[in-house]
Amino acid sequence: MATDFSGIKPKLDLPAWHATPLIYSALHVAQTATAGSTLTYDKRASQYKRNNIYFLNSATTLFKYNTKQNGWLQLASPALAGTFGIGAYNIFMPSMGPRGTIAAGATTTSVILSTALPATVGANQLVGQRIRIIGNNAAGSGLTVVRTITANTSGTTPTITVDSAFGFTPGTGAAYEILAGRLFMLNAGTVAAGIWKYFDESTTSYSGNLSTTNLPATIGTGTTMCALDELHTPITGPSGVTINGEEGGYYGTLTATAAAATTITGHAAGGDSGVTANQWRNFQIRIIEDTVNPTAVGQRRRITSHTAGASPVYTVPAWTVTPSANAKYYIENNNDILLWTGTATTTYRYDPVGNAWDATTYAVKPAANAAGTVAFQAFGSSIRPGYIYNFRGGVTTTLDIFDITAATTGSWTAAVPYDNAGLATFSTTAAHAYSVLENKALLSPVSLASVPTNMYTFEPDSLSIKGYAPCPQIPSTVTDGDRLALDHYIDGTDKKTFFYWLPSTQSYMLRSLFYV
Amino acid sequence: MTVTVSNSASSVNPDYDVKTSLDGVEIVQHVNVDSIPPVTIDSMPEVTVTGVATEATVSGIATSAASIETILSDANEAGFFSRVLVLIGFLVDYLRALPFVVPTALGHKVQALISTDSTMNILNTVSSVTAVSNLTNLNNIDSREIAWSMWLNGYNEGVRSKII
Repeated sequence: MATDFSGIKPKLDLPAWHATPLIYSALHVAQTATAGSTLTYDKRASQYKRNNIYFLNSATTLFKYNTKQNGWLQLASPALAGTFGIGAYNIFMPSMGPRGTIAAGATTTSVILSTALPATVGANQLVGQRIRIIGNNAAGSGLTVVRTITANTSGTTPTITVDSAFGFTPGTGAAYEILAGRLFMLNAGTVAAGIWKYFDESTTSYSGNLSTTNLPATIGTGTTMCALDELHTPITGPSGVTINGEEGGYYGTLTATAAAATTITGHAAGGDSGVTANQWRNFQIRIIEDTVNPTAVGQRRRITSHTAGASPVYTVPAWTVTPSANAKYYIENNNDILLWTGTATTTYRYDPVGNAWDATTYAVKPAANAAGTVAFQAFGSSIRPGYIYNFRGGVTTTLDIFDITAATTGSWTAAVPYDNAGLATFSTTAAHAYSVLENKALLSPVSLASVPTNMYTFEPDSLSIKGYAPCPQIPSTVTDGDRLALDHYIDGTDKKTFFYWLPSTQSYMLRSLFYV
Repeated sequence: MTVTVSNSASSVNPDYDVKTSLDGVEIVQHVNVDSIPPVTIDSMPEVTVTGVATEATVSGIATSAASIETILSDANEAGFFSRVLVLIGFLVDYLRALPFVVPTALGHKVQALISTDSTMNILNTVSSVTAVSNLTNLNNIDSREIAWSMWLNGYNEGVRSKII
């Protein structure tokens, strides 16, 4: 079934908003957004994206809205430490989930986990989730496959059955990665154990207290985050290849022409042969197939630097196992979570696999953010996917751009001029949502009491702001927080974006079909 | 349903012998004088109507069974209940045309365009038509659904209908 959108005629058809159901707690109490509350969502335009919008409304109150079923569900308390308020922030990482190795006994359509899940799952609880099997055991297949789970036994090391054959029988010690996604939550206030946690979608459980080492003493106002997840992929890559928001990085499958202890060499023609020098610095290379050296498959390395094509040579930190000369790989995002907070100019970086923060991987900002700041990576851009757009907040129109490819630690350009900068200043009520489908962001720089809320689209590639249909809902008072979100309608390659907006002092979201 | 009817001499229809008006829509008109287009419902004798609809008692004029029936229900003569229906119809039209529900400390009120100068006015004096009491809960459906259903209809009958 395809979906035909050709009947929509922009200008003849004008964008508008309409309401979604009231948000009630599990105890049937209407929920009104509190200061610091946020909406978070799966940014992918993939057919496998989660149809959820997460609403963190306090240190103990987390909801998720199912965009297909049009209903809200209150989850167990995340019990975050800290003081909830402006500065609290969430980010969703779609590729994150339980990882480990499998035990003996796999078949061509099932595996038995060896590394335990973080929580017990019930029978078939994992159905519908995606699992990646990496044949990187000794004498393994050297292949990477992703399948949909169709059955599982209960327990922490379940037997998992998938929808179609792997094409090989995974050996003992092969790796698994459940790609269900994790919602990372950072509370505001004094940094302490428990202020930083995640919600794991596959097991619907919370993490323990994640590392806070290297975070500042306080998560203050002016906080925003950016997720560089490896599954954040474009619709069309820079070479014109169709990715369609699915796994495959920016070029789809690439085949090496050489490899050494700290390098891998790309295509002589086609593929990545047209890259310019360091175009993909600080992105990652992931080995997805190596039948010659099976234990090399699954390795991820951040690109330190690279030459221009043809046959670009990517320099990376030393491989644990040097890939073979014709290994296959993706060039994709590096799975970092970036954070800016308070009056610090530091760019904090979190490694969600290693559970570690540092303040040195990326360059410091030219000036600190303030309340109302928003940031997003335009990962759908075919021109500059390495750019992170950061409106500074603090009742200013200032836009800083961080190019992660421009230097070893990236490079900031301060106060970038942009089209129609005008008077749309970003205050404490600012909100944003970036859609890879159109490579545009919807911005709501400020909400004011007793008037509708202005909306704007921002086009990263042309640095242009345009007016969008304002939300007619009129708040009686305003409540701080980044509460714009989106979800994509997906029918094969036919896709459209819905933006969602949770206004101040209201107990429901409004939705707008985006087609301009 | 209880309807309070005011007596106004301002709406006089020369086509009728009885000039004293019984003008149900005056209730709304008094909300914001001259801000709502005049409602030209035919005038009727000045009467007082009490009781519930099915047991109304009419006094104030020399009544016969036929005239009472006219006063109460004759559409052509702008009978009482016809006026009530028109009144409710106008209210519904205002709600439908400009569906802005805004929160207040006491709940929600309707913001609507009721002035000829195109400025938005808060129609919070709808309370003068307390008769329409069930409008506040719509048989236990959240009153916000009034506006939302129209927004959703706008989507369903608009752009959604063009997607196949």
